[in-house]
Amino acid sequence: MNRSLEQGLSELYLSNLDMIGEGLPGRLNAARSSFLESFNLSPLPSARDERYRHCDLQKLFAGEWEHYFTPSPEPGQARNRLPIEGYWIELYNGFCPTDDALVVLDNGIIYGSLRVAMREREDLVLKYYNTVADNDGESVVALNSLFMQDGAFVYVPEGVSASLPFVLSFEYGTNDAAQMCFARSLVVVERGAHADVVVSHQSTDNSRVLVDCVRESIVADGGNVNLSEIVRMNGSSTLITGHYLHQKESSRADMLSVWLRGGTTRVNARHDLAGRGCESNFYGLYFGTGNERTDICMTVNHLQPDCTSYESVKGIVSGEAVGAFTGRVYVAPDAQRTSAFQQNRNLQMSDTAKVYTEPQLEIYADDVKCSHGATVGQMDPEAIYYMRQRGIGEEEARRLQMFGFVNDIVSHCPHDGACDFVRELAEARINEL
Amino acid sequence: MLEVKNLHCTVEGKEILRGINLSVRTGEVHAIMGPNGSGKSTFASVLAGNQKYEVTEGEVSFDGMDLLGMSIEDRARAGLFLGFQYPVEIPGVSMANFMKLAVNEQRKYRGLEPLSAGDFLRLMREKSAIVELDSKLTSRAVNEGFSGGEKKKNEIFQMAMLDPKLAILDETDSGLDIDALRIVATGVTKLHRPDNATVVITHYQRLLDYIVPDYVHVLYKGRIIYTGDKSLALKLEEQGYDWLINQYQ
Ligand SMILES: Nc1ncnc2c1ncn2[C@@H]1O[C@H](COP(=O)(O)OP(=O)(O)O)[C@@H](O)[C@H]1O
Ligand SMILES: [Mg+2]
Repeated sequence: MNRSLEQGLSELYLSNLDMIGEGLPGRLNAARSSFLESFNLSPLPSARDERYRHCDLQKLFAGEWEHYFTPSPEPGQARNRLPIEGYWIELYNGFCPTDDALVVLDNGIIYGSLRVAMREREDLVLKYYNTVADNDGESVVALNSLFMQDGAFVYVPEGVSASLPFVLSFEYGTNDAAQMCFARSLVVVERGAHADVVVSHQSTDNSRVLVDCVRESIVADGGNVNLSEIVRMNGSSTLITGHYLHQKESSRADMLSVWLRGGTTRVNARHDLAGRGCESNFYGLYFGTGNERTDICMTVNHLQPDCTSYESVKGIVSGEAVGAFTGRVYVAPDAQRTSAFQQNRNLQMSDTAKVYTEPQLEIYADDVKCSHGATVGQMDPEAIYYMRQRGIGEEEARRLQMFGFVNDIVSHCPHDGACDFVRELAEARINEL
Repeated sequence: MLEVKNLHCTVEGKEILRGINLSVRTGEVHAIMGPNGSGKSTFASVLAGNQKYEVTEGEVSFDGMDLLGMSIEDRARAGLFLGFQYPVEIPGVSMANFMKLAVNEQRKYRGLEPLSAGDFLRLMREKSAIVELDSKLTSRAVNEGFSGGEKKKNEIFQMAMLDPKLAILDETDSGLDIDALRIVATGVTKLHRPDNATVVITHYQRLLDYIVPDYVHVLYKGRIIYTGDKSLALKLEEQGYDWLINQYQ
């Protein structure tokens, strides 16, 4: 009889449990058995699972995957790094370099390896770690928690405004064998504090990687975070990301995610507005060419009154690419005076490209202002004709129309230092379409 | 400058232009009038190269070139401008970016260097003054949220920016109030020179109070059935087209 995927992964964990837990707090390791249990209780979803219709995890995890329990050597080749000055945390296949120390600034900011932080600031880290990620609902999250050995940690103490952005640079590459990686990050912005965080996920070579990545971000009362993410994975990679954001009273989050490329990209994002008077803005942009597949599931939970959320996700798909967006806005019974807006707009460049879009509202309060919308459109031949009549070449006119389509997303980049770069990346990607 | 001979075209198998002959020389102003549906916009679109229309017969030379063999953009770069009856919105593309690209593509075609940022801004300012276009509009997306009048002014602004040899203005005067009409018409008059030519497609005599045409043509069922001087426009306004159509039939 064939071993199930779950059995295989459980055995992989059980036979390497000492290595996985080595050097990490005992109570963290003790908790792993519950993740093993929840992972075993809810198997990896296949396309038969409604929520994973466009992203069959059974298929993606099938086959032989190497997994290494120690940091692999960094690649030699030159990489297109983010040209951002900041507090950098560099990770390779989910690990920080072994000798990295945790950085503690005079103003109390702490950043660096999550592993080192767990060792040196155990109480602080474990106060927040795994408090907002959905280990019970998502088996990939439980799987990440099971195998977690390292990651990135950012802590901005009460009232402190970080003067530079934190750059969380996740790079993946194996040089040869197909490899499974687990990546983790934890961002804590305390009361009245401010942080800019730029996250990058990037392949360093053409090898197959399967990345199961989880990020928890916690913004305390009156805190403020600008959070961007830039994804540049290769065409044979799979990136499964869980983004969990928890906002407390009067906090604010401004987010931009740009999924430029990747074989299969699955996003599970959940934004909890868990205090009164929060504001949360999310702008997302994805591109799909060839056989690329992007599947974005976003939930915004309005749990308290007087919160505002805005989400706009746009996509351009060509070739045989698949783009899927499932958006859900939930408004709890007590969350009066909620204002929520969610939209997904897509540009379908070829008949063979597919777009599935499904925004949903689930409202249990009566005094709310909520709206949502979804569109799938093609290039506008009238606009192309108009531009050409002014002397602009056909290719250029098509590009200009695509720039116009993505412009409002890209122009909402929340970091001064990164915006030009994000725009250049988007423009370069459009030039390839 | 423009020589149209026996031009026929069809759309979805239906013949719309049925043998148009027209000759426009440098320095001239021509008006094309005619009842709704007679083919005026179609004629303008065929000259601009709109691929919706299939040319089935005839020839067009523009500045000695075979116009019908050229791409839409090359016709524009060679100096043909069409003021659209219904200008198109391009979300997310600012007027400034759009015009910068258009101006520089046209300059490239003529072997000129791209304009510097400073020269371009100066040109924008100078030309938007011609049609009293609010400078705020040039920072907005192309035609997006523009009023009807602003869209028409914007067409003339673009014409001023691109300085074409031949401008074909398709009902640039319709839907304008008296003030906007004065501004648009005065703009067109200012842009007319002995070394270029203008074809205005219009329903109304009132535009021709400003832009005095050398010739007035009446288009009916895809043919030019009558050509006169500026007094023809006045007569058409007073008496309508019936007398001409009856005479033609
Ligand atoms: N894209 C099209 N498809 C089908 N019929 C068209 C199209 N464009 C124009 N026509 C037809 O061609 C005729 C001429 O239209 P048009 O050139 O717009 O006239 P005008 O500008 O003189 O009012 C009309 O009968 C119109 O219905
Ligand atoms: Mg017309």
